[in-house]
Amino acid sequence: MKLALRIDPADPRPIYVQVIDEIRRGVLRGALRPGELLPSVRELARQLRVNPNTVQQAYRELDREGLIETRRGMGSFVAHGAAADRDARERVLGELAQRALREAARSGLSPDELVRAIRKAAAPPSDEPSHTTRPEASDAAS
Amino acid sequence: MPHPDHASATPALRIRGLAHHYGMKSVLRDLDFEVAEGSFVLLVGRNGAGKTTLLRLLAGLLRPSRGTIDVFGLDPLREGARVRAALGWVPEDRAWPFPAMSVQAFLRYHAAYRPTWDPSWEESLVEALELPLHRTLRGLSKGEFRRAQIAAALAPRPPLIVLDEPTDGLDPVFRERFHELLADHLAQFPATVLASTHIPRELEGFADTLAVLRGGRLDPVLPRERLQDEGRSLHLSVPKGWAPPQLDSGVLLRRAPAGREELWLTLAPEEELRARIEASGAGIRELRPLRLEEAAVALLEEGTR
Repeated sequence: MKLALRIDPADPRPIYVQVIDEIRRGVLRGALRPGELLPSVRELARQLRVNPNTVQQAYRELDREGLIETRRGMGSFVAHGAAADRDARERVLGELAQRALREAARSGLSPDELVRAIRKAAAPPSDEPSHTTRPEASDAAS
Repeated sequence: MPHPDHASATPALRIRGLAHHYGMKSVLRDLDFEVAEGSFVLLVGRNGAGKTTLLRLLAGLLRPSRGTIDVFGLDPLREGARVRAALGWVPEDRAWPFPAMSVQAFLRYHAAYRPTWDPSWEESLVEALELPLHRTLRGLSKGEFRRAQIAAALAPRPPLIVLDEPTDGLDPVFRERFHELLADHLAQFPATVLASTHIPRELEGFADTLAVLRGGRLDPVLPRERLQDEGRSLHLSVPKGWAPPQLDSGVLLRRAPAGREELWLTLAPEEELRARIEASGAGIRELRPLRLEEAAVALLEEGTR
């Protein structure tokens, strides 16, 4: 199968972590379904132009987490029940938050400012400016 | 899939007290180095640091002034032919005694010396590298010759691969294709790799060890895990008249002050570093992991200051 994974050389995460995150995301959004065969280590290493050891390491880690199952001589499959994995969801969210925080810090913005900006961006468009004046209260509640 | 654990205890390569000088000019001195079987070492150094000398010593093409080399338990000086038979070497230069040979004959010539030569893998390499089999070596461009060298080095599926500026002369398409081919090769025929490059970024996805050649020694030799754990880029905001904290040697790789802000590249446990910087009165605006290339450049610059 062809899996559209993206490895960003400018991304500060180690490459094997990027591979893990990409597969996790593929499972989460349903692009990879339980029971589906993953690309072989050789195929994926070639596609990503990375050391096969790195892909192997990522697969081992995912196997340990239970997100994939590696069967000797057959390859690695997406584990049954992997999609419903709440931990996987939490991890993706956590990683996304970390990345947003890093970007914010780079521009000298505080976590509070970032949270406020996300709320504002996600809120349905409104002509009333009033809701932008009470972010402190909702921060405290969360 | 047959894959050696790259943390395997058997060293593929062991160097002790190696020194080499050309006449009065000392290039390598007292160099110790060990490479575990299956690992991928990225060798970086300034021009003239001795990278090519080191690689030629490994292949038994040069006699060291002092010290010992052990390649898979063999001494390249006494068993040079056996060492070279285990070695897939892409040399830096294109010195070759028979310029009238065709590319095809060049490959046959190499195959004759290599019992492990794999004709079907050779065929894949020839195709992927688009080798002009019937042209003579003399008429090849730098990049074309380099592609022929790559095929000759990989077709015997050697246990030790030495790459000296492997993508030098390759166009962008062949650069990418070479990395694809290298990944494919290593997945099928696991090997220990020693690669010298001026463009560390290119092999970032492959390297598990960064070895910095400076002052005639390999120092430091950093496993990728250590770089990931300890290599950091910090953007600091500093108060007026700030006195930076005293750090142990080897921790601060680069310091670039710019008014009330400073950019630091460091190699140290993060918690401790953070505490010492904050205790000094500076603020940390940004902290992120160091890229392999940034670390390489900073270490090379540091070595020449």
